[in-house]
Amino acid sequence: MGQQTTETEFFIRNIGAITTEQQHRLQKATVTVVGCGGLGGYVVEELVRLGIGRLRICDPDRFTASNINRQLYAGENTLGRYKAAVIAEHVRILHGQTVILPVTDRFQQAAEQLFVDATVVVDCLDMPGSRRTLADLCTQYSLPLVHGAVFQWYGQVGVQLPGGSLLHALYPSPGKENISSPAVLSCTVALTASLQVCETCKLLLELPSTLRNSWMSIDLKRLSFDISGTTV
Amino acid sequence: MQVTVKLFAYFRDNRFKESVIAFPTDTTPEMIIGLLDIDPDEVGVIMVNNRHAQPDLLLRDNDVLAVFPKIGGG
Repeated sequence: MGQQTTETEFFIRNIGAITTEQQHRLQKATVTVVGCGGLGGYVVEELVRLGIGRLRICDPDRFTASNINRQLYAGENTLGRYKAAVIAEHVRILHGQTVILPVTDRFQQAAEQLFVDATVVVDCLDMPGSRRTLADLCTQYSLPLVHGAVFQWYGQVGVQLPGGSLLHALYPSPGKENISSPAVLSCTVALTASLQVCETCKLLLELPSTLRNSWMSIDLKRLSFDISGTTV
Repeated sequence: MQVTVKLFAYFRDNRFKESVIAFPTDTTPEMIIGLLDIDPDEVGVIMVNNRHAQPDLLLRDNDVLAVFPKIGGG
């Protein structure tokens, strides 16, 4: 027979870092994660353990063998399955305090489902062109966007507030789409995703951050972190 | 003229993180990017003195040029 638990016990070790009132705010929030690959898997895992009440996650792709080096739920037992569906299954067995909606269409085709009632959107995509499109949708729906991207030992994290143009600054048009199968290390992905979750949490709790319409370039080979604004 | 050139992420590989380099007057960011053998299609953000700049901006003595690659993976 399972141990009796309550919602309070699940998140008791969050309290102190955040207040009980702030925990309740997280449980009332809806976060949309677009892209369920490397970044998306870690982002969802950490958002669920923070106690976010509702998650919308979106990715039309299925797991392949080359995902296993860095994508949290990619394993020999999940190859060929939709990433969003596998992640949602995992979330549902962690605890019942997060309602998760997996979407296996492209985000452009599911905008109403994904964005209408969202509080914050997290960009875990892998193509510059798609990121610009997502940024435009966030502008349309007046939503803050937490951006993350990775390559080899390098990452970047930024926050675009409604009306901002961070993503267009980072990916100026016309731009060549990045290498289709870039090398990425799992440690780069996990760290970048964790920073995205930190920034998402601070947005939801209206806490200050130096990443507001600005971004941080991460170099893990040399361990340097540089924040830049978007003043044009 | 002297320009401080700062490179970020993988642009540092086999190059440098920061270097003060002498260039002729009327040098532009795109000329420096070419001299450093960086593919212009891989450049995301160019900043001069912490402000976004176009590739054809005429640089001045003591300017600080920062060049960031497009990082696109997820």
